[in-house]
Amino acid sequence: MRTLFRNVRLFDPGAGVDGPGRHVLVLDDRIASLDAPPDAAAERVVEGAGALLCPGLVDLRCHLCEPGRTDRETVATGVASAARGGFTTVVAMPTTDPTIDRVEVVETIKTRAAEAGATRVLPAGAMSEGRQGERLAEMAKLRDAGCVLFTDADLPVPDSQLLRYALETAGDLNVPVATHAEDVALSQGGVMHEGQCSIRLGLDGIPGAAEEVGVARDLAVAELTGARLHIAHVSTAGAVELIRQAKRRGARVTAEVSPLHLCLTEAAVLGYDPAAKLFPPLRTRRDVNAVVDGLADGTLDAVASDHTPRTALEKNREFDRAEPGAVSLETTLGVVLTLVARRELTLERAVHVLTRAPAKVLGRNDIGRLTEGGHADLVLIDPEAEWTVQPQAFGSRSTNTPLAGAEMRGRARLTMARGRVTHEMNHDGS
Amino acid sequence: MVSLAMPAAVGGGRHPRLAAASRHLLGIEQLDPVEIRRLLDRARQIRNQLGEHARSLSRLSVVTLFYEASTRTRASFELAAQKLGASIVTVASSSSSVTKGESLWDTGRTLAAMEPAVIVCRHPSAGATDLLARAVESVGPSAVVNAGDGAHEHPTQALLDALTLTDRLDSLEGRTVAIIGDIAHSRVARSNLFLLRKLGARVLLGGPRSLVPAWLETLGGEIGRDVDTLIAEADAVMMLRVQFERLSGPPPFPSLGDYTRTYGLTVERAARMKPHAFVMHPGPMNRGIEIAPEVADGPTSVVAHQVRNGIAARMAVLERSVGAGPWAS
Repeated sequence: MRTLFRNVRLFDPGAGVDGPGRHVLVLDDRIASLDAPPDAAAERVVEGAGALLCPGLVDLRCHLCEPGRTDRETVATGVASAARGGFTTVVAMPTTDPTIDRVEVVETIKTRAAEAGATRVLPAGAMSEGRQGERLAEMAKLRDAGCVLFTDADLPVPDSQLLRYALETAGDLNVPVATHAEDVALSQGGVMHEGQCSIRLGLDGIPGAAEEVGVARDLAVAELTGARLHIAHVSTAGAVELIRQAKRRGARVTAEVSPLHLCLTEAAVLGYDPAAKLFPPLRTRRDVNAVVDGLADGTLDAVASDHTPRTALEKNREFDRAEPGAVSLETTLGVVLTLVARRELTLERAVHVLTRAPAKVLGRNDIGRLTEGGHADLVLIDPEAEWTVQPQAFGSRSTNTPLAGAEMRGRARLTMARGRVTHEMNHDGS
Repeated sequence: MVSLAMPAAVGGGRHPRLAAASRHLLGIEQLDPVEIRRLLDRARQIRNQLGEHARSLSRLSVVTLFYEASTRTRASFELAAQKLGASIVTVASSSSSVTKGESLWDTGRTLAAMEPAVIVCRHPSAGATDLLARAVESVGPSAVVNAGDGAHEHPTQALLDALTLTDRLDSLEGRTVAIIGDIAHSRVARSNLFLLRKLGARVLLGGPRSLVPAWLETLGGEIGRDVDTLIAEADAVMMLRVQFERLSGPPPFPSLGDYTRTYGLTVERAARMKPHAFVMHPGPMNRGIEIAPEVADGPTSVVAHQVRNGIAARMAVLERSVGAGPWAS
């Protein structure tokens, strides 16, 4: 099977490539040529009409909920959602039940992913057994089974010594550790950002300092070990600054931000909208500006969807009792390209933080890039397409997002994973 | 979303006199000063004619739905409804479907389908009555009245407090009210702050820094760290209890004795009040902690008067909810 992408703007900022008017030929699951003639023989021709052809997007953090919570999401629906959002690789968090601390769970996820199609699902192993924060999970076994990252997902590591051992052990295995940085004593009882909105609503707050104390601790332990640390979903100005300083000192740290923390503030919670209840919580305008700046200047390496499906039953309730989180795989690219349209981010940086940069966090050079002979993981992006977020049309099993009804600019028109089309937009834009 | 089957006949002919006029009271924040004055005027009017006012809620029903223990607020609402001629249905969370795990959303829709005129709700979660109002609106015309939602608002308490304040001070314009205690967790403080600011009063806030966060200034309060100064400046002093049940983690101050020493309205402190100033407390009171028993029961205390005013204030609110009395079109 040959597919020709005709007249595309070949765009791989990680490789310094920006080639308008190019033609790309895919043969089976591989890229045959990045500079094919326009009349190359092919069974299928996709007219690019100047759209961007980029490496398939790479997501460092999504919750696929299978095994365990298939009422929220399954690997199949999660992968469908990823494909619609332009992703060809996703890292699945161990927020499964059972968690990913045993090889059998890794195998289950790999089997489900293979059934679901060509999208790469890379399991993240639990850092500690049962994500209990007490004993290390069997990292060597898990790595050999296919885990690409170790993390207790949305639980901070309670014991600094355990974090040290995790970083050292994973470091020897050449696998990064990702932490959710939080001082749980400071955040205890909180359900939203502590500030002028929480005081107005009478909701208990989570101060920005709860995250900053966590980030400072995690950075100090990582620098002690010299091993690689990745900090998940950074949300405060203070945390960005701590990471900036650590990088200046030469610390081996990377960090990511979620799309919702790039575009929404605590004000989204006014009216007690449980869709806007996130973890970490939405912060202030100053924090949003700081994470956008941090993403632009390289302090924050990548954007990760932090796709967190929740059922209607879990969301449609009292704000303090509603489950935090939002589905994001299908809005991440739109949010990031909307920042480009608003000139807060360059197009090069926007694509980089969703492709080569997250691949680099994982230490992989086989994804997030376009190479002849490499896997045909591609996304055709219309950066100018204007669209409205309609959760009912999502591929995800869940619809929980505070962006319902939001106007976005920029969208994946076609996604191809390992040579197979995993998503193609209809002419009506659905 | 759960859908609740409803025969068309029921949906068709509901409460013609409620359809347009019914309205929720979810918080003081959404009320404008004109509406607040109207409620206070009506409460005064009702109080002056107690026993002879029209039974303006006759043949209507009021449901009280309380998810939290309450003595005075529930009794006050039920007496108010009774005096207006309404029939009252009491739903206590301990003896209802709530213990079977029914969600607030479903409970709201179920109750709304029975078409009571008013649902009065107290709930431990901030924003719960907003959620209940949305659930109710999806089914029928009942009005939702907030009887306290978590640490958010307690609008009828603020109305009865305003009634009490204006009984003594005439206008609130330019007056100074000090609220002292656990402001962060107090729905009474929040509703009073909104109301007093809307009617032109200065509001001084005092208490431990952890319970009186600086963010309160964004709501129009002025924070003073020295309680003695606040008390000397105020025309009325409102004392609040520490809501231990809403605290997580270690206690935010060393001991109750220490608390009383720094923030309590002791006899000595009360002596520093202006000569005409008076003391309020929404209850429940922790005597000997935030307020000395001698002060609570002394000549400057208007606590019993507050409770009496509660019934008239709630009668006015119920009338507004169903579009009766001055709200009848």
